[in-house]
Amino acid sequence: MTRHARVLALIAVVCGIALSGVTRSEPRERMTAFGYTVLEGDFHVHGFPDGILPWDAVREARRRRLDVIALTSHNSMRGWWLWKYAPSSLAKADGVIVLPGEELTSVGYHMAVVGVTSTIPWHQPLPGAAAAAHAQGALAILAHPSGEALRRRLTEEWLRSVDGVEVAHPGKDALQGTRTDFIDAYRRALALNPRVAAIGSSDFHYFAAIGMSRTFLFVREATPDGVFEAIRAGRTAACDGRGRSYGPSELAGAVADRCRAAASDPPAGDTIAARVGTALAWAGLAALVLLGPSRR
Amino acid sequence: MLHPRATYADLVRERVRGSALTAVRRPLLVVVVIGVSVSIAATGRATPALVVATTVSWSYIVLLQLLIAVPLISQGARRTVGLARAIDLFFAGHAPWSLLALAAAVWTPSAAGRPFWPLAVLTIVPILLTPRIVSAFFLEVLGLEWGAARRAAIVHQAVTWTVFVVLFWIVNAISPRVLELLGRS
Repeated sequence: MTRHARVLALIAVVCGIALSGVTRSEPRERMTAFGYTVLEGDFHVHGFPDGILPWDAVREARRRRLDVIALTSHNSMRGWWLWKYAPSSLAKADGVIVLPGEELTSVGYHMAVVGVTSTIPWHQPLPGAAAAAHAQGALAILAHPSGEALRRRLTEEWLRSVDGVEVAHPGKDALQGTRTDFIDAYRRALALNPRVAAIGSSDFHYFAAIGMSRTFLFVREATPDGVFEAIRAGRTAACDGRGRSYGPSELAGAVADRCRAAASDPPAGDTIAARVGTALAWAGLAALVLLGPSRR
Repeated sequence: MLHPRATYADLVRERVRGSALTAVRRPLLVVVVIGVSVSIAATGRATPALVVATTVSWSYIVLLQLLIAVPLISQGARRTVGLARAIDLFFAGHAPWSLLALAAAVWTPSAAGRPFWPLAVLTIVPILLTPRIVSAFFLEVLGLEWGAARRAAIVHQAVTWTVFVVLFWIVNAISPRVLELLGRS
């Protein structure tokens, strides 16, 4: 009896995984507004081992209708190096712009550094780290600006030194205080620098879907340089996981519908067969674990 | 899981001498559970390509567990059930962590409101059960005396936790966070 149950569970796992791969093609249209092409990006994506393998992250980004991502490991460029040195058969961008980065995890602040060429020492206050990023031609984005430690330190000098502020982030809605912190940090930075970019990022590790919070970029050209130029010029709008957009009102308004759709629509190519398959694989594995060790 | 001594005693009475397949099947199940769980948690699906990639990349977790366990169990295993069967039975004790991984895969915290704390609370279950299971393994499968089994289980848990905490510490840049908690800049 148990033996038959194990065989059935194993069949469920194999068939479930096979079914999960059933997908359908979906054409992708890029939006234009005010004479710019609108790209969707996530500038805070962790790579293995603090996330999934970078080529899987890129594939997932495409499925989540993103055009650009930055691979940002903690105080390291592991994710980017894995991507850069992966065999070309694995590392297929397929239309997604992949940027090098790191999440500078320091005392009192975190900063997503995008476009970096070598890691930046974390033993320094934010203005020094942002200057080091700028010296490399990279962007300094204040990451998930919340909490008592950051509130104490977030001076005008700190806010002036960043190119963008993560105003949309999956952690934003965890607590009312957190939500207020994110919005306050962005508003204060905007008052000091009208070109500071509103950034939405998923801070993807294993759970929050890539692009759950995202940035809409109004670019002149869909290239890495075009992305950097749009952020430096502040032509962005951030979008959170509940479909709310932030940033300059005309830009946030232009992407409001797209932002709501990003929060509610299923991923591109999603099928019922894939959902059933995933559930089947999960249930089969749970059964195999619960049935316990074979006696032979 | 809840009565590990009775379960292991029952299984050992079978007197099965394991093959190479016996040695790899349960570690392999653990690796696949991790691979599928990470795939589902990260993307909501378990496609063949994603499962293969995550299973291979996360196999280091099980390899580390093997590297820690084999030196501790090999001598006793040769006297009793054989190394292959001992590895098989040892990884049967992974069930609480495997179930936690599967639970985490479906309880994905999100901006839509699923909090992290239920997972954190659930993690207490395997943390509490595993030392009992490992003790029972040393006692019933390897035939150690009560005191020796407890010592072996403590060594195993201490080494395992040290290795995985160090790994987590490095990967997630914990040092600055600790300095922040200590109020240093």
